[in-house]
Amino acid sequence: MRYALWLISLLLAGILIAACQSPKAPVIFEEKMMVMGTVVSVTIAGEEDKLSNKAFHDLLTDFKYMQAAWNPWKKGSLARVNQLLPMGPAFTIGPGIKDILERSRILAQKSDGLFNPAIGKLVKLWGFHQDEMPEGPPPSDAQIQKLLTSGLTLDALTVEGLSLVSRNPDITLDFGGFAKGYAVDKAIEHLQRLGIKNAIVNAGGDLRAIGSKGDKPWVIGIRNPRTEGIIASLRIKGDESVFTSGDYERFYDYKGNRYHHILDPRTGYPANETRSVTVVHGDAATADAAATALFVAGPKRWEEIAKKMAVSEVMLIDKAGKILISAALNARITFLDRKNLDITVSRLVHE
Amino acid sequence: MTLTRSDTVVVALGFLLVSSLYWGFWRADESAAELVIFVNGEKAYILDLFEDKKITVKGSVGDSLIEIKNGQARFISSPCNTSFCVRSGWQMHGGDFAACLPNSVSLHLSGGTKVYDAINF
Repeated sequence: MRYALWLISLLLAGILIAACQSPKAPVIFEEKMMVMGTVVSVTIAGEEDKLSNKAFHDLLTDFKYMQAAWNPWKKGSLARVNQLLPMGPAFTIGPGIKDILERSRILAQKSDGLFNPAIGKLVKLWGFHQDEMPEGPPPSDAQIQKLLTSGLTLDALTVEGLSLVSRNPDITLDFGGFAKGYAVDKAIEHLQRLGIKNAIVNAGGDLRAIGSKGDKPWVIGIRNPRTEGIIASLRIKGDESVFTSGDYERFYDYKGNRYHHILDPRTGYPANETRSVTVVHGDAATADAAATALFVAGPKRWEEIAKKMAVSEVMLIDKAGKILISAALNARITFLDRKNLDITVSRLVHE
Repeated sequence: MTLTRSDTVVVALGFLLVSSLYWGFWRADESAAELVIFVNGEKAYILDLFEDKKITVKGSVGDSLIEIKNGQARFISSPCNTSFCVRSGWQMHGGDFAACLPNSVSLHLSGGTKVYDAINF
């Protein structure tokens, strides 16, 4: 009997020793800044505090610069472009604006124009251009149609070298559905240049994560668009962006109707078939533009547009709360309460 | 060879000891300990989450009313017309976050083990 007890004691001691030898969690640095109209959170794993602090302050400077440069309405590079566009003659733009314009032009074409940065005037007409939320009334149909008939697309802009000219004086650029993603990509590129391999840059709930947290992957919670709490979680695989566009972000109620900020460039009105769209993709700029375009595409066209934009991991929640999800995302997402959710899996396949 | 009553007690105590050590040292403590309130991007308050209270925070456009109760925190009201912050509900885990962007007030929970490394919305 004594041997049995010794054996059990040894086993217990072994378990305790093994437990003590568990891998140590990496040092986590996390700081937040309020820029670009949102809270940007920077998380870095496994680096010295000195490097993490430097990285954070570099990003703070960069984000402040991008905030000033890309605001369509306040004094800065993009506001200058918007001021000159309706005047007619060609003018010179900076390389930064050229790059963001050219990248967004490609994504606009792939999205069949559902992501459209040329509708700045329409955004302004609805009042969603300002920090404060509009209170209504919404613009008249005549005002909306007048703008739409002029043809608000990036096709009316010609760029040659650093020279830009517009054939439509109604075009005002607003990179709202893209700038955040583009900025997050720039931030991650900067962290990588500093030698940081494990980090998350989260701009107001839209994020890109690289690497891991020690020997564990980064875990992202996706918030429920209607009720409190998290609807699903996702383990990041190396380098991925998770972006969500939702009707709950900016909206106002007027005489019993809700008007939100994601406008359908075809109708001029808020897209009303969708609650939210989440896109998981490599680069944040594409994820951002795709989330906007697929929200506008709605339950009927999201698969078609996702294929055109080459995004394969998508979750769309329609206006009734039904979840439409691509097979690729469904295979790796964890819903917290799957049995009580109405989920349809799509065979969305890359072309 | 059979176990005597004393042997059984010793073995049971051994398992109990290991289980309690595991529970005490290895179970993830998900509850947050501290609430940090940011106003205009600056840390304005650091509060104990286990001291129940309601606090009025002056933001850029008005007052946000925040409640701390039983280790959780939430916005009760805020001068924004979307009420996204209020609808975010109770925040309770380390790393949880809620913000009223129009009023530039945000709640960040720290301490405890984070369930999620970041929240997407």
